[in-house]
Amino acid sequence: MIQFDGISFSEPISRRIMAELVRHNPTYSDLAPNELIDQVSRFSFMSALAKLSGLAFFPRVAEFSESDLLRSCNAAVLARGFFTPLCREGQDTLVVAVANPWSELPEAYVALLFPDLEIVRIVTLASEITRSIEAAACHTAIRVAEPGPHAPHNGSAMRRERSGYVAF
Amino acid sequence: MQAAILTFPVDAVPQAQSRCNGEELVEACIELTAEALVRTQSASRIDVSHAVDSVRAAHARGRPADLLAAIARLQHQDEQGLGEVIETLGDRVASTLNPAPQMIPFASRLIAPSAFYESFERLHKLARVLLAPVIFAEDTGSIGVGSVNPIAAALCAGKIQELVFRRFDIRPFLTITRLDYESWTLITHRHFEL
Repeated sequence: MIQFDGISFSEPISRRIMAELVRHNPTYSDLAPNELIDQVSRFSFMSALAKLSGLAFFPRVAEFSESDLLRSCNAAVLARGFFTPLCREGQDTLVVAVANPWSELPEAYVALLFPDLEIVRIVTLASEITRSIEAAACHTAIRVAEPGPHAPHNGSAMRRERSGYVAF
Repeated sequence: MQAAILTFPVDAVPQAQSRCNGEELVEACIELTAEALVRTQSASRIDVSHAVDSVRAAHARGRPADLLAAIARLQHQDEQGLGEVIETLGDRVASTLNPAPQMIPFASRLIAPSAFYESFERLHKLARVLLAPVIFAEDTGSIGVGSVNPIAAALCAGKIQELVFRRFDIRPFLTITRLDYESWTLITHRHFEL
């Protein structure tokens, strides 16, 4: 069973991943699974997952995540499930980044929060998902610390921001 | 809905794969796109025929052009709103591919892979004539290609896979994505100085 970046893959899926990586680079066929996992780059490994699941792979996504989407989510659920909503595409589509394309949690969770949006999943590195969640937390923290000249004086928005920060 | 990756060009258009120079690849792109436009009833045969002529003429003048954009201009004279028309045509053409490439809004905003272009000068030329820029290249093992025309992107991806394999004995993983018209215009300008 393969474990990669904190994600465990079942035996049948692990076999498919191995076969895909050997197809990608035939010299891997001489390696034991553990050796192969040590040698393969994160980009190639995650691309193999993307290929097997019929999704697109993007190596960098954190810079493109919309923090207001993240504020609607529970960061602990996102971190545990290795996924994050990224951005809207047009009026009715939401792009969600996942590191484990076989997990059903991302679609189930995001669909509950955004029932009117069609979900398009893409695969990215687990570290990009972490960066994205952390960036949203920082963004929220900055907004708490620096409310700016147009911040409401009654402090209600401030409390909402602060509770958002705690959640992250 | 899934984004198209990897194998479409190899499996679906083997005759295009064996074509190796830019002109032949462009011709394959024109033919396949024309066929998809007619099959999805996105344009009449007469419109397609006129647009094909204008695209071929543009290429002959050394100015790459895309059939999808040419059809959109025929159907929608006003530059404003052209993006929407191209997106609709792109949706329909994408539906003829399996899996259908998705529109990813930030795809054009990744750092241009200049080292990859330098290493594969020929691929840069092919991407230029197809107007299908490489949107990322990680260790030549994982590469992304984008365009308003998913068929152009898929053909370019197939060619990249072939040439990288020939040089490194590695079959790179290819991601194919659709770009919106505005991003595509900007990124082709940036990558190909058009």
